[in-house]
Amino acid sequence: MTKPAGVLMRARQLRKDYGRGEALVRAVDDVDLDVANGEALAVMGPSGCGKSTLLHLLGGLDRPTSGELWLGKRRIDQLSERALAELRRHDVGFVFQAFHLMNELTAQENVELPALLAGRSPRQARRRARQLLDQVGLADRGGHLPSALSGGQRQRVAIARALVNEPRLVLADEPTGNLDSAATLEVLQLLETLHTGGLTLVVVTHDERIAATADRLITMRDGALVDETGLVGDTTRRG
Amino acid sequence: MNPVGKLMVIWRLATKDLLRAKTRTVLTVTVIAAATATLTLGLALSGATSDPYGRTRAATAGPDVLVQSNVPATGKNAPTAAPADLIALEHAPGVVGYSGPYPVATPSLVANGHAVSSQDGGFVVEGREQARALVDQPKVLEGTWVRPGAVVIESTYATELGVAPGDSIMLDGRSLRVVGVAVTAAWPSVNWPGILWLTEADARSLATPKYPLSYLLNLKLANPAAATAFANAHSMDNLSAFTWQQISHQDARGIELEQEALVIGTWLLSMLAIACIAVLVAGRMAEQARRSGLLKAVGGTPRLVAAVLLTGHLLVAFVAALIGLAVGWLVVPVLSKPDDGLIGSPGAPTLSGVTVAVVMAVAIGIAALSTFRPARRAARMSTVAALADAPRLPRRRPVVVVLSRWLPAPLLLGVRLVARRPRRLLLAAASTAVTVATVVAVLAFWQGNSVSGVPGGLTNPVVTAVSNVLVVVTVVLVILAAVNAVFMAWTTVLETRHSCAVARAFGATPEQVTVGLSAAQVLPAAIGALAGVPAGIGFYHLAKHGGTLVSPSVFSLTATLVATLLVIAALTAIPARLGGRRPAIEVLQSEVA
Repeated sequence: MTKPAGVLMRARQLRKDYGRGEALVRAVDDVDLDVANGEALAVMGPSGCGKSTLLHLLGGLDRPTSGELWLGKRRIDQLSERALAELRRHDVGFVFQAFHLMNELTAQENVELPALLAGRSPRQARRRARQLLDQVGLADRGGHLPSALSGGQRQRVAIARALVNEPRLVLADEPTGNLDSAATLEVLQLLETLHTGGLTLVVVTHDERIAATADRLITMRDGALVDETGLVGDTTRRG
Repeated sequence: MNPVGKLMVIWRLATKDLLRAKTRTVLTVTVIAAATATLTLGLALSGATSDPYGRTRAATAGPDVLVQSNVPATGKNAPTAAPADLIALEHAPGVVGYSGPYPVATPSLVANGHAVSSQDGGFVVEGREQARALVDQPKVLEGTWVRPGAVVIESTYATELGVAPGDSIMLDGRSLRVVGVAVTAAWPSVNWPGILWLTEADARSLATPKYPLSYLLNLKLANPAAATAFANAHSMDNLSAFTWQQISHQDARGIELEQEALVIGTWLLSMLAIACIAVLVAGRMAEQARRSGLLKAVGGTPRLVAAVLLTGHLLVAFVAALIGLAVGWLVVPVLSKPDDGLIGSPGAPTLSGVTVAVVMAVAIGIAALSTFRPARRAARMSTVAALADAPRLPRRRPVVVVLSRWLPAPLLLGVRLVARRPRRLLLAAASTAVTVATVVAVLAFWQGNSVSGVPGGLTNPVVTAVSNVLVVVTVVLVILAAVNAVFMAWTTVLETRHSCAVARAFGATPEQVTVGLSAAQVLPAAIGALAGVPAGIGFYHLAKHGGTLVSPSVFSLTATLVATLLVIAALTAIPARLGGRRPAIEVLQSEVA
């Protein structure tokens, strides 16, 4: 099987089940999805519809029950845990709703960590972290612990951390879910800027303002894609 | 809430909690029971030393003072009769009875494959009349008393030689039949030359110009308590006097050494038990922060939360103390059995109220000491934070963060995660140091006693008994230390699960996390192990009350260190590996659930 040109991520018949027998829950139900290089894709839907699970499958944080998943020319749904770790290290960056920063590390040290894990020298990691903190507007907050930062600032640190290894794809799970309006706006603008710079982005969100900035919006219900809207360019419908 | 209702709630929650975490509960009971059983042994043995000698002394009309003439000048003109100074003591003031002087010969012995020279201090041969003596009549345990051409052997020495009535031995090339085995209160049965009895004529026949006879006189005093004063008053250049108290002390030394080993072992075990349970409780807290929050949310006061935790652990301590007392009570007769040279056995010592109270107090003390801080912390934790299962924020270690940048990824992770709890690192190092020190002390004990040895390649019964006690204590310590290492690793895994999950989300492999956590815990263990070597050598030096410093061989020390570190690496890797099997996203989602 070959992958169409320009498509960075491709999912076919992707399914994720939890439990078995009568307790079986199908969190992701036969999802077909292509994400183009440089595209910003928003995933919306009610709570519990499988958005986050889909995101975790796309990023190799979880394994599908069945189906195929491709990142570039590489099939990733059958990779070993070790290979998935390498994939997350080099090709994918995550932004979580709860930030998941390490509380005892400063903002800069949090951003450096994935770079050090990827084998960069401490000097390179430091330089790259400073550059990213500058890019997200936190150049003067690098020495602060997460507890000394606002919610918006923490999420910007988390975004910088997601970018530190120059991933091909950034996956964001409700990146503004824990933020107030002002902080949401900060993050929104940052994501927009990154996307404009060519970053491929998949964002799971409840926030229509974020969805509105995406190239394409897909809607999920009960684990399945029920609607797909091209917000920029072509528009198609499904389900 | 009325007091009865409150007590019922505390009891119900505490017992349900213990039953829910069965493995943890069983391990806690085991840890405290090991410490209390050892303590019971140490306390019970302290009262088991005097009776056997007293019974033997009564049954053999033991002397109050034993006087031995020094070996006279050798050569053709060596005297053959007892010196006049010795004979004069028979009628010294205060003496109410005597036996002897008996001739003492120093031949060579071949028995049961052992060749022993009495000149090396291996044994002596005492010539005795066939009739019953007024003072010091050894009690025959097997066979009969001396007769011409036959030998009776002191019971402990017969056991060491491996001979019994009916066997034959050779004295200076002359074959003699063993006709009896007897005990005496006039001659220490441990850490002293063995004693054989022949008829006086047979003993005299063993004298040679090179090895002439010396003489033994047994004295009974009007006031046995004044034996030391009598011995001091009549000590002369050519006579050596021994009091019954000195002989009793020498006989009791074996059990005293066992008791000392057990008491020291108890302290070490108690320290390890406290460390072990402190870690256990800390791990429990990491698991149960949310449970405490729920208790508070439904109206439980901070005191109630602390009371539930304390009650559970005190209950465990109580049960463990009962088990420890029972085990100690059953094992005491085995360890306190007097050597073969004494009559009777102290039997199963009754556990005095003081012993039971001390053991209970130690068990409850261990549980209370190790639970107090976490219980107080749980009680003080904010309900919201507890409900959110918010982990206790680790303190930032800037130096560790900066230095670890230069380490390979697994170590970078491990060092940063493990260094967040320095007190636990200290406990881990101390636990390893205590264990290695004990192992090294036992090795030094074996080394020291294999060097000094016993003439004829025989085994010193005291060495064997103390060695057995040390092995038991060491095995229990090693098991406790192993349990400790696993608990510490597991607690670290629980507490660092979020950070590990974040690291894995950003590309750390489960192997990197496992290796990192394990390696970071081996580092303090290595420091503890290195510190344990001089501590163990010093510990043995102190236990034997000075003398030459004995060190185990370099090979055995190296093997101990390498084995310790390999075992710790393996033991810490298991929980780290198990923790790493849980998907990272599951952990991250549970943190925000």
